[in-house]
Amino acid sequence: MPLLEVNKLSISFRGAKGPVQAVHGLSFSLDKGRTLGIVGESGSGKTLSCSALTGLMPRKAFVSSGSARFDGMELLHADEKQLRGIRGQRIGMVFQDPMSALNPFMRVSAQLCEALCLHKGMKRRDALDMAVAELEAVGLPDASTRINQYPHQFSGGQRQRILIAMALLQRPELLIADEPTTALDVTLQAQILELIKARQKELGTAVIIITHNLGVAATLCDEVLVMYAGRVMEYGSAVDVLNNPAHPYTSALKRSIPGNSATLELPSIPGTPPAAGEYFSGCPFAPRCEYARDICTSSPPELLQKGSAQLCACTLVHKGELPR
Amino acid sequence: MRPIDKANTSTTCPHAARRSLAAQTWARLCKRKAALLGLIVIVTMSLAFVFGPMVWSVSPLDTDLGMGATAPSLAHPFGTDEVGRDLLARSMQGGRVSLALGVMATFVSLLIGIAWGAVSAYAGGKTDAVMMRIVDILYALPFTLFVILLMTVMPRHTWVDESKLLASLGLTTDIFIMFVAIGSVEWLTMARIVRAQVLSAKKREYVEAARCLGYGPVYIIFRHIVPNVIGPVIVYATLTIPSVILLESFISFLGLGVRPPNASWGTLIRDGAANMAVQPWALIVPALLFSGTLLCFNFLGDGLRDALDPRSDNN
Ligand SMILES: Nc1ncnc2c1ncn2[C@@H]1O[C@H](COP(=O)(O)OP(=O)(O)OP(=O)(O)O)[C@@H](O)[C@H]1O
Ligand SMILES: [Mg+2]
Repeated sequence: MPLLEVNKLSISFRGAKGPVQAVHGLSFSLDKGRTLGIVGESGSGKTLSCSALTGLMPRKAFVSSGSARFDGMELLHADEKQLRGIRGQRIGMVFQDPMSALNPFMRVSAQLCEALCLHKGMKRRDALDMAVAELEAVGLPDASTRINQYPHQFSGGQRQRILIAMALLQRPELLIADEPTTALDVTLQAQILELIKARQKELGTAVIIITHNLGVAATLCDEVLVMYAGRVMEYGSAVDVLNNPAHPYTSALKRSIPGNSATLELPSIPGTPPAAGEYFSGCPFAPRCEYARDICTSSPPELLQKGSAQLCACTLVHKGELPR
Repeated sequence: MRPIDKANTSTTCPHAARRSLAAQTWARLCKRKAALLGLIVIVTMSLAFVFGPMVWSVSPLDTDLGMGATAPSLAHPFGTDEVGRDLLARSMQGGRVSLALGVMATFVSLLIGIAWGAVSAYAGGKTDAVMMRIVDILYALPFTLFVILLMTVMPRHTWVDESKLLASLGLTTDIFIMFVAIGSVEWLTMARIVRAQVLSAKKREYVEAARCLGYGPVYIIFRHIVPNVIGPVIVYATLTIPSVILLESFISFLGLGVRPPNASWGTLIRDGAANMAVQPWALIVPALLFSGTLLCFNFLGDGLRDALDPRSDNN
């Protein structure tokens, strides 16, 4: 049984003119100790889908259908008390901006230890020892003295290490990292990603990494899920998706990986992603797709098997009409 | 290289780093000379006003028409006014009234302001809108006019004057009314400040992060939101005290506040100003005391704001 199994998850917002659907039938599964990368442009519903798992969606959002089973337990119908037992303790989170995710008024030691004392009933001393060990494991030098400092006394990269330590300290079975490196510079990004990978190996944690960068997902993940406008475009093993992208959107994303081309200009996908709730009779990517035909805008594509273990939502691909 | 090493050890020293937040705030406050000076002066002055009469046992009410106004001398260090009352004794009594009024009215405004602002921010939505519009409406009323109106409408003799306990503290009806009047107006700004702070604290990413770590609302409120709100509120409170004293002086100056023969700094300044040309000391002494106190509170408030923020160690 997979650790996490999301099935046809749909999320909508309560709008002035009735509900606006932002996530359309998202399905994926994740085994213990595996890594899933969720890739997609801004606004494609990556954060929203993950916040639904921990019950921390924006107030106006609601799950309209679907299920999410975590270790046999239904997350989407769990009450607040059950969810509080899962948040942090069984599902950890790492945030995008390490500058604002730590409380400037509290020592790092307090921010790390209090969860252990409160949730696991550990003695303050033991919690402190464990926190220091974890900080050393995430590569923070001189952890036993620095743990008593305030967040502003650390650099951005160090703070991100602290946040990772904070999330891993409770030994969650699943770690969700929402764009953990976008606020950091390029050399740091690689280090932090390496760190997440290394800690994951040691602790056997399953990880979901949310990113804009298909390259990051490919090097770090076992599986990759490509989202566009709240829909799954392509889903499969990282090797397959990166080496043989089936969907035109994935190919376009691959071309826009920073550093992939020799030119200085960063190739980007022309056009902008649609707003949440925009209605499509066909494929939502059709307006920006270089291969789009009439059939793409008239009938919605189905998410079908392509190759051995790859799912793809493109009518043309399934008809064998794309040149690849 | 030396100074850098030194700076490093002082921040990483485990002993120094493990002190409580209050101790750290105190240490940072001590580094701000102006704030520390302000605090020392305020404390010394308050003690002097309370215990001074035991040492300087001249009554502030005893008149000596034969003597009349005299310049400062050994017998009367601050001089006397035109009916021969000792100005040192009167300054102490006025100081008691002014400071007590400042602290009490600020305390009242703190209580109402925090409750109103916090409830408004937590409830959100329509409740928030209604509560804040009420504040807006009260704000729009001419502030001094409102106080003056209240002072004129309220009876000037009540049970407060009958109570021995209150009388022994120097509390009379006029002072009591004034403190209700000022307190009930000063809370408006406090409510707005608290609401804004709670709103912004609620949306901080680290509050979201704390929820993701599985903390409940009680922990989050006390560990994350309160510390965020308390700093600006304390600072604003220290700045409200002098503004209350100022307002009291103004109202008393108009003849509506503390009534003779009782004195406050406001009435002393008014009386002094009336005879400024012949007895300048009667104006200079209370005016100096008054502006000195205002300055000290402002210094203290400024210093506290910096001292309450751990990040201020850096600059
Ligand atoms: N509070 C909200 N009210 C209404 N719509 C919202 C709200 N929050 C998000 N949305 C909409 O939901 C959609 C999904 O947002 P989400 O935050 O999941 O995007 P994302 O994929 O995480 O983007 P990014 O990469 O920029 O973080 C977006 O189209 C956004 O406009
Ligand atoms: Mg996001």
